[in-house]
Amino acid sequence: MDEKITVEVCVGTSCHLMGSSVLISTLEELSADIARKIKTKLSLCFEVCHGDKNPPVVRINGDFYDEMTPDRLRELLLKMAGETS
Amino acid sequence: MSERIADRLKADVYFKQWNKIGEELCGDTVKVVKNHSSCSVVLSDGLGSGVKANILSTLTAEIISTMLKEGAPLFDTVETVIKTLPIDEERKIAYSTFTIIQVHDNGQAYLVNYDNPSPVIIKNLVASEQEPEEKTMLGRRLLIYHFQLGADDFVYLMSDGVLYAGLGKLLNLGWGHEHARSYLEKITRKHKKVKPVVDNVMDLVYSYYGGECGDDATLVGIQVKKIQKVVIFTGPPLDPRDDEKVVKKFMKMKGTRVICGGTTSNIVSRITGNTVEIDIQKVNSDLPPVGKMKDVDLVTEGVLTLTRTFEYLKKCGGDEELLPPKNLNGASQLAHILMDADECHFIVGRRLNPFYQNPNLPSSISIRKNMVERIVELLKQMGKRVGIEYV
Repeated sequence: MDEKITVEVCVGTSCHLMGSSVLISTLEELSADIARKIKTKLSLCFEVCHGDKNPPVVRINGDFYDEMTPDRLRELLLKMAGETS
Repeated sequence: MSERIADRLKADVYFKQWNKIGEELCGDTVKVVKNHSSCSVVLSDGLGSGVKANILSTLTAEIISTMLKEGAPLFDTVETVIKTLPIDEERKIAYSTFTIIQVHDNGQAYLVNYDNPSPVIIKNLVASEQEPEEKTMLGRRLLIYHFQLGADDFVYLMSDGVLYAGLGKLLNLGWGHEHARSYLEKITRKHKKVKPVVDNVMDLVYSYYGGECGDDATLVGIQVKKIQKVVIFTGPPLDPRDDEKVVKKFMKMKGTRVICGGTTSNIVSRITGNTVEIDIQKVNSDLPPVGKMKDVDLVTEGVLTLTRTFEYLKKCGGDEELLPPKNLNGASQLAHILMDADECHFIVGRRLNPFYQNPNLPSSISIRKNMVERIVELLKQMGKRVGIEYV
């Protein structure tokens, strides 16, 4: 079995206001063969929005992605899942 | 200091009354006086029924409760009332009988009974025999009880109308003290809460009377409880060098521990080494989800949750039953925790989150401090002791 992709979604105040719950729904709606390659976690705050990152922030395999949208998240994960299979 | 507070006790009081049939007013009066170190309850039963009895019992209960509220010692209060209570010329009985109980926050209880039925004292869910000391004051016979209560002990005070239930109807001589006592013991063991016990027993009294109460009947339930304390830590300390000191203090405080704020939870996590777990199943667009951490009872997001908590508390107007269900979201959980508490302590960090200065965000989220102060004001209005410290 391949290593899973770790997706951490920030649910802190600013990320929540900027729509992090929609990103979580996006993750839940992924097809089963993609979803099983992903491990989802939530964070109460990455504290990166204090600096140069704009919410909502998602960390995938340790790298931060800011101003995340559902479409971009889906595309990213589909690409990464494709690479790992 | 917090350790001393954790062991203190309080008394929850609930009572129910039935008026004698055909009367609009009850001839029994109950008054509750609470202050920082004790809770006193007065039950007074005026002679006769209706308006006259109501005035007599109100007068008696009012004198006693006002004196106790002003800090007069219990026995001085009793003496004043005994001196001022007239005796009915024809029947040679006092115009008003009374029972006073004073429960201190260390569990010491003093009870003075003047011609009301004996109190029922339930310790560790067993009815306990307490031998009163008899004292004559100005020719009146008083029974004085002095006993120790612990958490979840109960005391019931009643007017004679409770014991006469069924007299001459369903039961020849009423159900009497012995039966009332064992029934109270049984029902207390079942419910372990004062309100359902009093409601249940008074429903029984009503049916023994066949719905037509021959006398005013009052049952007062007193439940001793441990004082509930809650500590809320919200916002990072102004000087990051204080983080460790503040977290250690927070984790040492007794009571329910709540963290409101992502950054705050990260600070606690870093210093204690305990991680926050968030249940992904409970995510919705309304409010951010709550987390769990070892030795902390609730971890929530900060300012949005606090704002909603304030709204819930304000809307319910002090009535816990009007709060949304506890499991709805972080704010409803926090609102229930605060409503259950007797003493709340807020540790409010003053470091600003730069992101909240963003002009595109609603202005209200930059004002965590103001929101906490508004919650504190509401809690004070509900009679809770509230402390707030800025770090």
